[in-house]
Amino acid sequence: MAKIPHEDELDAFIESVLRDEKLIPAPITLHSKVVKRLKLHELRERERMRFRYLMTGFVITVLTIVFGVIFSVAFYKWSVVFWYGSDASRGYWDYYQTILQTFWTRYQGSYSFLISLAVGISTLVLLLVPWAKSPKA
Amino acid sequence: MFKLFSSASSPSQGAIAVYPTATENQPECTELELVRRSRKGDTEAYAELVRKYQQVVFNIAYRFMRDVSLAEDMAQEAFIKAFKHIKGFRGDCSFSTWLYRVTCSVCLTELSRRKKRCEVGLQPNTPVGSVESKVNEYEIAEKIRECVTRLSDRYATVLTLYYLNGISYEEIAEIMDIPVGTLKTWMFRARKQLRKVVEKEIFPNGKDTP
Repeated sequence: MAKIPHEDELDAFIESVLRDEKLIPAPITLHSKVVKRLKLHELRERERMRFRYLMTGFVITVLTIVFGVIFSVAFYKWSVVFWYGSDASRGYWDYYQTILQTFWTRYQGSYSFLISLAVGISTLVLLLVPWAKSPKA
Repeated sequence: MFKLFSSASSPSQGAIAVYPTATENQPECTELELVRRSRKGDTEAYAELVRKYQQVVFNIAYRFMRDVSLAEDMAQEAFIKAFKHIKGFRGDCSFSTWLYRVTCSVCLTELSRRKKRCEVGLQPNTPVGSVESKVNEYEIAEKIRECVTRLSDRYATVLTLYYLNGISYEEIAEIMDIPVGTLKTWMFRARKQLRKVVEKEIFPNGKDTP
């Protein structure tokens, strides 16, 4: 081991060490890995754009529906239609009410339908009760 | 940390902003074209740029990280980050300058993150005097090079770029977005700081060297 008596010599030593460092070759895989990641990035960007367009369409649709509802509520006298019915082409409420009434009174299978509905619900309840009572983990 | 998209010192220094003669600057035109295509999202054009600059970018990353696999990761990050932000590259400096700036930024960010997590740092340095027979010159040199990464960001960057062959003094100033005079001052201070670190970390018992 040699002594370095002066700072200048230490500086020179450091300088030589740093200057003598050679360039090392880049790994062979570097380029291919970057290219793969670029492709992934490209795909992700494409998906992001697709999602952005999809969401824009969705928002536009929702806004259209919301504003349509607001518009129709604002310009349509629903309370009058509800409480008093309406004449001429505005009598939708009366129309649907009448249809529903006639459907249930004239429909031959209405009792069968109700019974099957009740059986279905009962079965579901019977199935769910043991599960609800079972100890939770 | 550097501003990635700040304008460089002077457009005349940038290779892209010049008006070339046909024969002399044919590669520059090709690079300009590749950059232009990359800005439009052409990954194949960017892959060509990666092929061209991978060597230097990898070596910059290696000198910051001092580990081949980490350097490879950082080089990848730098290339991907540069591609993501290539629309912010205005062409008022050369593409290589901008790319090296991005690389330094990525490496310094990673080093900072590692320092915060205490992942980085030199191995406990055994005083040279105690294991004189085992420590050879190569190890001492490696430790000195590692010491560069312990300097503050700006000093580590100027030293790393300065001792990397192929990057001129003016280009370093452009990468750092500082005047050449300031770069010289930083170089002086960086060497001084490095000497202190080396004295403290490698020669704690005296200035012994192989």
